[in-house]
Amino acid sequence: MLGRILLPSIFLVLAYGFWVSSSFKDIAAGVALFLFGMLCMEQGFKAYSGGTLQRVLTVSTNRLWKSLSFGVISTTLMQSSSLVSVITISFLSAQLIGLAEGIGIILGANLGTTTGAWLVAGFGLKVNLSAYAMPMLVFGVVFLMQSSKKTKGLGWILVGIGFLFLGIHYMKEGFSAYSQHIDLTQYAMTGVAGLLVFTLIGVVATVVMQSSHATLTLIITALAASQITYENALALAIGANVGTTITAILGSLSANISGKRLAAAHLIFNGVTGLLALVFIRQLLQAVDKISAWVGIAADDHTLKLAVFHTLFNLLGVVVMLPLINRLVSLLQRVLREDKVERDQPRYLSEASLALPDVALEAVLKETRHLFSNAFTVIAHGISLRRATVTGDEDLQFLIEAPVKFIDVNLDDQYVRNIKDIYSANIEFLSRAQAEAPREYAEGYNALRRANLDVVAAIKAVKHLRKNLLPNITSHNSHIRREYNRFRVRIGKVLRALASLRDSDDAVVTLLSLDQVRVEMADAEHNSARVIDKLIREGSISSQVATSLINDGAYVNDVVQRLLNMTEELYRAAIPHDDPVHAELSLQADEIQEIALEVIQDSGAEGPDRS
Amino acid sequence: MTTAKLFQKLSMLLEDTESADAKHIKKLRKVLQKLKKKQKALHETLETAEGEQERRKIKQDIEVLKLQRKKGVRVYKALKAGDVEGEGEGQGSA
Repeated sequence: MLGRILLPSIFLVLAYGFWVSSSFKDIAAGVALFLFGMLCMEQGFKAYSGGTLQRVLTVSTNRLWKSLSFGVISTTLMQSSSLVSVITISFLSAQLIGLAEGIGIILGANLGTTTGAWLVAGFGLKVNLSAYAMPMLVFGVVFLMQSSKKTKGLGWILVGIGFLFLGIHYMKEGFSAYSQHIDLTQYAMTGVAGLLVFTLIGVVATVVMQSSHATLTLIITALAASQITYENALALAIGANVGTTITAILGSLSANISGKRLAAAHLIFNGVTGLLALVFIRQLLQAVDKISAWVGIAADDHTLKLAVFHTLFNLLGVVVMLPLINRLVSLLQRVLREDKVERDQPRYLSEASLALPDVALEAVLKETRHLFSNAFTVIAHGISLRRATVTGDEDLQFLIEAPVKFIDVNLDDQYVRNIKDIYSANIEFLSRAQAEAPREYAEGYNALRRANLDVVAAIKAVKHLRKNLLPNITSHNSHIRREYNRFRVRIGKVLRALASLRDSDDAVVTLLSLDQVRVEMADAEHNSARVIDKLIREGSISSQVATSLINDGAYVNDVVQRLLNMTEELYRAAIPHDDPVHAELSLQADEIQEIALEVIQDSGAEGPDRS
Repeated sequence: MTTAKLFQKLSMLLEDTESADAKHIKKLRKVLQKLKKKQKALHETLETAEGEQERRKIKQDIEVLKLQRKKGVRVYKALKAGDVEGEGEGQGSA
C-alpha cells in the first residue's frame, strides 16, 4: 500500500523539480550517480567477500573488540555500512558468527561510516572531484573487460568510486547554482521543533535512498552551499543515522530469527544513539566546538564540524551500548523467540547469503547436515531402532536375537514434519544460488543437490523395506526373523559409522574412511546371499519368502548406498574441487569386493554361524 | 613484449606449476601419515580383540588402509620422480 503511494509521489516530486529548476536536475542526477556508484562498489566488494571475508571473519570476530574493529575497518574500506550489515546478517543466518559478534560488527560499522562524512567534507568539497572521476571510470571499465573475477571486482570498485565522485561533483554544482536563485534557508526551523522535524526528514530521506552515506553527502554539499543551516544539518545527520537501519531491517525480512535479532539490535542501537544525540545536543555542540578548535578546524567551517559531530555522537552511542551488549543479546533472545512449529524448518538459509557464493554454499551445507540429522531419526525409527541405540556403544549384533521393541511411527507423517520443508527449501535455495554464482561453484552446489536427493531416496527405500520388515521381525520362523534383523543391523551400523565421523578430522581422511564402511557392507551383503541360499537348500524357508528377502535386501543396499553417497557428497563439497588426493587413494568397487571376499576366505568363516 | 619480460612470465608460470605439485605432495604426505597412524592403531586393537566378528572387521579395515596407502605411495613416488602426467593418467581410474 505504502509502496503504491510512495513511488508515484517520488516520481511526481522529481518531475516537478526537473520542470521548474535545472539546478534541481543536477542535484537529483548527483544523488542518482552517487547511489549507482555505491551499487557498483558493492558489486566489486562482493568479488572479495566470499572465501577471503569468511576467513577474515572467523579470525577477527572471536572477541568483541575484534568484531568491533572488523566493523570499523570493513565499513571504512567499503564506505557502506548497509553492505556490511547485510553481509553480517547473512553470516549470522548461516551461523558462521554469533549474535554478540554480529552486534559488535554493527557497532563498528556505525563508527566506520563516519569516515564518509570526513572524506566528503574534508576532501570532496575542496577538490575538483570530477577530474579524478574520469580516469577512474576509464581504468575501471578496462578492468571490467578482464576475465579474472578479482580484476573485474577491482573494476567495479573503481567505476563505483568514479561515479561517487561524479555524484558529489553534480550535487555540489547543483547546490551552488541553486543558491544563486533560491535561498532554502528561509525554510529553516529553530528550536526543538526544528530539531525534531529535520531529524524526521533525515530519516525519511535515508529510508527512500537506503543509504545514510548518500543522505550525509547531500547534507554536507547543501551545507557547503549555505542552503541549510548548521543546526538543521545536525538534525538531518541524526535522522540519517536512524534511517540507515532500514537496509538491515529489509535484509532481515527473509532471514531466520538470528538475522531478525541483529536487525532489531541495529535499530535499538541507532535509535538510542539518535535519542542521546537529541537529548544532549547542547553538550555535544560544546564538545564539537572544543574539539574543532583543538584540531584546528575554523569556527565557521560547518561541514567539517558536522563530520566531528557525526563521529562524536556515534562514538557516544558505542560507549553507552558496548557494556550492554550481553544484556541486549539476552533481551533479544527473550523477546524475539523462534516460532514453535509443527514442521521443522530450515535454520541456516537466508536471502542475504544468496549474493555471496561461499556463504550460500556453507549455509546449504549446514542445512543438508540438518536434513540428514532429521533423516537419521526417521530412518532409525523406520527400522524400529531408537536413535540412542544407534549412537550408543552396544554391539548392534545383539539385535539379531533380541526381542523387538516396536517403535510406532507413521513414516509419511515424520517425513512431512521433519524432512519435506527443509528438503524443498534446500532444492529451491540451491537452484537460486547456482543461478547467481560463478561457474567454479557449480560442482559444490551439484554435490549438495545430489546429497539432498540421496537423503530423501534413502527414506523412501526404508518406507518400502518397512512393509515386510515389521511383520517379519516378529515371525515365528527364527530364520526369517534373524535375516530381517540382520537388515536392521546393517542399516544401524551405517548410521552409527556416519554419526561417528568427526568434522575435526581431515575431510579427505574422513572420505577415505567410508571405504571401510563399504567393505563391511559388501561383506554383509555376501553373507546374506550365502545364508539365503543355504536356507533354501535346507528347506528352512519357502522360495516366496526367499524372494522377499532378496527384494528387501535390495532396498537395504539402496539405503546403505544412498547414505554413503550422501556423506561422500557432503564431505566432497567441503574440499577444494581441484584436490586430487581422495580420487587417487579411494578404492574402486572391484577393490572393495576383493577385500570383502579375501577376508572371508582368510578367516574361513561362512554361513550364519559367524554372526 | 621484450625477451626479459617473456622469460619472467615463463619463470612465473613454472613456479606456479611447481608450487601446485609441492602442495599436492604435501597434502598426500599428510594424508598418508594419518592413514599409517590409523593402521598402526588398528594393529594394536587386533592384538587384544577376541570376538570373531570384531577381529574380522578390524582385518578388513587394515586391508582397506593398506591398499589406500599403497595407491598413495605409488602417486607420491611418481610425483617425486616428476612423472606427474603419465602417472596422473594411470591413477585416474584408481
